[in-house]
Amino acid sequence: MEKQPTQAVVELDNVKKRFSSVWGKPRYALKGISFKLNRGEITAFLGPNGAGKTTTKRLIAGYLFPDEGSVRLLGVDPFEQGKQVRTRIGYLPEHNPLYNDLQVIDALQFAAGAKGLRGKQARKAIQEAVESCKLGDLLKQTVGNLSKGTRQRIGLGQAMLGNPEVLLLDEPTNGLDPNQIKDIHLLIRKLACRRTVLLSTHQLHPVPELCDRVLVLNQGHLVYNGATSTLLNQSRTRACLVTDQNPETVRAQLSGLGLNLDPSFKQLPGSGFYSYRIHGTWDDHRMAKTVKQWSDLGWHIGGWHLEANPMEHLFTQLTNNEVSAS
Amino acid sequence: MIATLAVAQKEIRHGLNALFFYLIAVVFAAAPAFSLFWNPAPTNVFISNHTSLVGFFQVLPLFLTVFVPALAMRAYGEEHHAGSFELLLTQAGDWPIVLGKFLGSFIILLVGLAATFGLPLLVAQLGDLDWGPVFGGYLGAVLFGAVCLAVCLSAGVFCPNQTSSFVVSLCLLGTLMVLPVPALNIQTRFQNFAEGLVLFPDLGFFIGLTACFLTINRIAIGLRR
Repeated sequence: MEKQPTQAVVELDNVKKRFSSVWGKPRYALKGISFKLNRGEITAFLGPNGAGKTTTKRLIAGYLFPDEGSVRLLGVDPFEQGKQVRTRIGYLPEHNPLYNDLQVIDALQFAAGAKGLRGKQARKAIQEAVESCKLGDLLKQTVGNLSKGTRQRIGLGQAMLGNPEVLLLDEPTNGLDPNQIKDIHLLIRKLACRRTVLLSTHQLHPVPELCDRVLVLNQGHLVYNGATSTLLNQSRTRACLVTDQNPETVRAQLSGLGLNLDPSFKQLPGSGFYSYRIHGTWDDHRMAKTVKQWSDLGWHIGGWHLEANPMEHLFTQLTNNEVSAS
Repeated sequence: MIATLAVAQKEIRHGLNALFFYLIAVVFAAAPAFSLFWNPAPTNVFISNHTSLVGFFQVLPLFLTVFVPALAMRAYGEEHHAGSFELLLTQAGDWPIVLGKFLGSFIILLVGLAATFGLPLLVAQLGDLDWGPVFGGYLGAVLFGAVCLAVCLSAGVFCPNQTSSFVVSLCLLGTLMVLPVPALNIQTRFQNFAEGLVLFPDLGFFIGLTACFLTINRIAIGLRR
């Protein structure tokens, strides 16, 4: 579906949030972060546990207020003017809290009512949520008896009631099996049309496919804010090499060059060759030059190519401050 | 308003879905009857040979101070336990949550009080019952229950679980029951109603105190953020 012109829907400007305890020193969960989320974009919100992702979501949802800086959601302060944006935002918190003793239809009706939807408007919103999240056969089921994947669909259904312009999804695939994760990702993609989605997840594999932008938070600082494609392009690459040299020889040679061997090497059956992955900053020219050096040393090279680092490696680099903030 | 009603409806569903509610409702309905028919005190209908509910309304506040915390401890306790309070606060505003929870629990309290209606009807069969004090007593019980509910809900916001909410509520209500200043003592105020005296100052006291604790409840939610 065609996207609308870029327009900031969520704006955080130098936001700081601290949590005080009675005895201890106040702890800053956010140390001055600024970013904008544009209309129609799915943004991955990444970071290690405790980085401040949930706090940021709570600030955008209007559950918390910033100690310093400002949060604007659809042009208003979500904490002070929550009533104006409540129906325009869908929030799925971590662990997806649902009322287990309610039936699915009651849970949806309650969420619609709590958001201030009534009558025809509420019925229409519930019908849309039921259709989008495939809950039609489950309406009379008790929430507590349903599987985790189904509960996630109910949580997403509740979040999208009232056709909100912004969806804040906090680890919606947490604890799901691969099929359920795939289903939820398909659903998010479907829900994302013309909406702004901020998706925090520890599942990094689908990020390049699913998300237009990436925000990476580490220890309360925003360490990356940019397009997913830019992140992947600026990332280091891995070299894949097939040679007859044993791992000890290769490791010794690489350490002399200041490079690391990935522990996932394997021996190719019946050929006497090994397949290695070498971390480092590679390009075709450098790799060709290095391979020539190794050939001159008498190594038999079965082949080589470069591949992009997977998201997990990028995540480690960013959260270990190896890539400069953008 | 819609959000308030949605929250109230959910509270009523939660309350009426729980077996626990029926257990305490039976105890609540049966125990005050004991004071009227089996208690050796002069308030016993058979001992005094006088058809009145004085004995019932003497012990009713005590039972309400146990029944209401048991009823109200779930309102926020379950939200804290399920982690749903955060979501609720982003869906509905602070006041709709406070008023919705109060309204829902208040309706359940009324159901509990209605379970005791058999008692005056039974006593009326034994002789001429003066209905003035009965209506006054029930009006007082409703107002007394509303104050208890507002106090317990305020305590529930701060308490991390249902048990602590129950204990703290019980302590707060106990304090309000034994306050040495009669004008501020909720039991003393209630006794006027039990005697059939519906006075505006008493009405104002109970309504004002309820409003005061509901405001504290709203402030307490703000402090949690």
